[in-house]
Amino acid sequence: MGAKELREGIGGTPTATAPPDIVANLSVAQLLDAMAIRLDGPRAWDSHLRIDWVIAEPDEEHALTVRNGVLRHRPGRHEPPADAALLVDREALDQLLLKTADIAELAGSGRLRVEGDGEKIGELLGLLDEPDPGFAIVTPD
Amino acid sequence: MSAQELEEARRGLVAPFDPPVVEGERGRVVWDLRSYDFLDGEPPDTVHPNLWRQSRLTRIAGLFELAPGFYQLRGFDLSNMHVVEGEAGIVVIDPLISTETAAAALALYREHRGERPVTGLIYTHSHVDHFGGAKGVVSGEEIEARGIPVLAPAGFLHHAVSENVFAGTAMGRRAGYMYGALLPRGPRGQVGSGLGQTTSLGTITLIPPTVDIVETGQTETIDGVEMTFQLTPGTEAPAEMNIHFPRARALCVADNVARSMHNILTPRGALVRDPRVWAHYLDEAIELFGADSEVLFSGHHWACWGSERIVDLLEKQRDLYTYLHDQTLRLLNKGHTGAEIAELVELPPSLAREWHCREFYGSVSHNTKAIYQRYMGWFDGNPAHLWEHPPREQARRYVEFMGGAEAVLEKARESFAAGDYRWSPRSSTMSSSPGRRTRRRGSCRPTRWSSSATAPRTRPGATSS
Repeated sequence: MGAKELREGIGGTPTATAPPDIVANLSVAQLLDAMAIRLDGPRAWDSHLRIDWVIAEPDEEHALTVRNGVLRHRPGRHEPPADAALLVDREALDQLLLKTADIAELAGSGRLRVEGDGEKIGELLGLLDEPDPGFAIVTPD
Repeated sequence: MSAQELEEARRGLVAPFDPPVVEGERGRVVWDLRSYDFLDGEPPDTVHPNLWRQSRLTRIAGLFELAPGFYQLRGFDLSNMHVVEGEAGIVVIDPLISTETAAAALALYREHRGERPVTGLIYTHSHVDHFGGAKGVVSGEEIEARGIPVLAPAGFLHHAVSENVFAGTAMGRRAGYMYGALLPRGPRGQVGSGLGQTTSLGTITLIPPTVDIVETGQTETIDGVEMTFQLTPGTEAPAEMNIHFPRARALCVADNVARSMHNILTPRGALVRDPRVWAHYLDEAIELFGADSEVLFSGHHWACWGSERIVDLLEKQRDLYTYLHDQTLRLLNKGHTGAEIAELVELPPSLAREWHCREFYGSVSHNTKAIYQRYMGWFDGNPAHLWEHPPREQARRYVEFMGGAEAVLEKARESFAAGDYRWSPRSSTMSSSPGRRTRRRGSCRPTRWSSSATAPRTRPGATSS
């Protein structure tokens, strides 16, 4: 594979590790764990966010906090009160995190609703970094 | 902040440990804090000023009252021993590494608080610096005759001994390098381990537990002392637990919190710890006990007072390990390898400014590599690295490519002169052909804990922290 990529360039990743069926079967807590390891630490150093995620079908609530460059979550709602709440059904949440739909699209179709300071949700999503399924292994960066 | 830690390190002092020396059989010195008197001076340029400061704090030794009926014995060993007064006697938590140091600690307590008998013994986790001195505070016969309960987290005995069964020899040998217990003490030798000054060199014992703590929320009352337990397996040790004392509003956090960044993978060698689980249990401790705790104490370092400050300490320690974990994963999913991630991760200023998040024991570099190892293993994915020569064979080839051993040494000297201290020893070890082709008889001094027909010797820190 290394020789092939040196000759022809990076071919990407042939298998998808998080196809929709896998994502649909993750618990919300697992989805939030996956989100936490995408948080771009240095960009989040000075962020202080409190956002409640209210999921429908099945009904779940999770309290998210970004502080000290870390995204944490606990089930339920917690003090201090959130800056904003994101109300979304589970399928739409998956689509949002899989990037098969964006927040405006989901809001437009009524499957996602924001309460409180919507900019905070934008700030949170903006702090998420993308993994690179085609990173260089043997080739120069 | 420095002033606050110094105040906390002195707070509650009942009596200093003076002279801070413990001798074993035939006058053999097991512990001697006087060998650190050089720390009275200003930090020389051979020692990092932060380590100098930390060692001055970990050298403070004595009996401390943390709350009414709660006593800390610090500076008798690498770790702390705690005494909780009950109705008829005392419950001892974590009796240090050696019987000699544990007995000395108990003697100072009794000198000031009276001849109270031991009515309970608790091990917070399966590392030797928290159980090895058990028979220095109570004998196995007394435990049996008086039915003294010995409490430990589920799995304690298995984990306390299994580390010695499998990789114990190698861990012990490497612990000698890690703690430097045999190095001369001084500004050009051993200054402190960050966790405590060093490991004691006395007799290690083990009294098996009689009561297993098997679940979070389990309560036990020993000699009138009420306790609620939180199991924290897979954090700093495979079997570990926190203890809350609701009446005194006191919280024992074992080694889950330290006044230093801890090790995700201790350099002596161990299975890689799970920083995610570690952070999870710290978060749970905040939820369970944070609001109901006025004093927090741990297996090393000084205590912390005030609910607000305790929660702040727990939150930042939690976020410290979460940050290392999450950022290592973010970067490895972008293709960076462990050695690269170690250079890329920097702590947020809100954590970096806290003394208890600093690199006195663990380090960002070691810990991010350890997390990479936990998830990805030794291989970095590059096929050219899949079947490398062992160090000796590799060095022989590199040295030949670089023009021979003399040329390499000359270059290494130039690097040293230019201040590239990271590269100079790395490159020059190639010319000395490292590796274990054969063991050369008499090529190294026998260690003090190698097999000896005389007094029992210990392997310093063999399974500690």
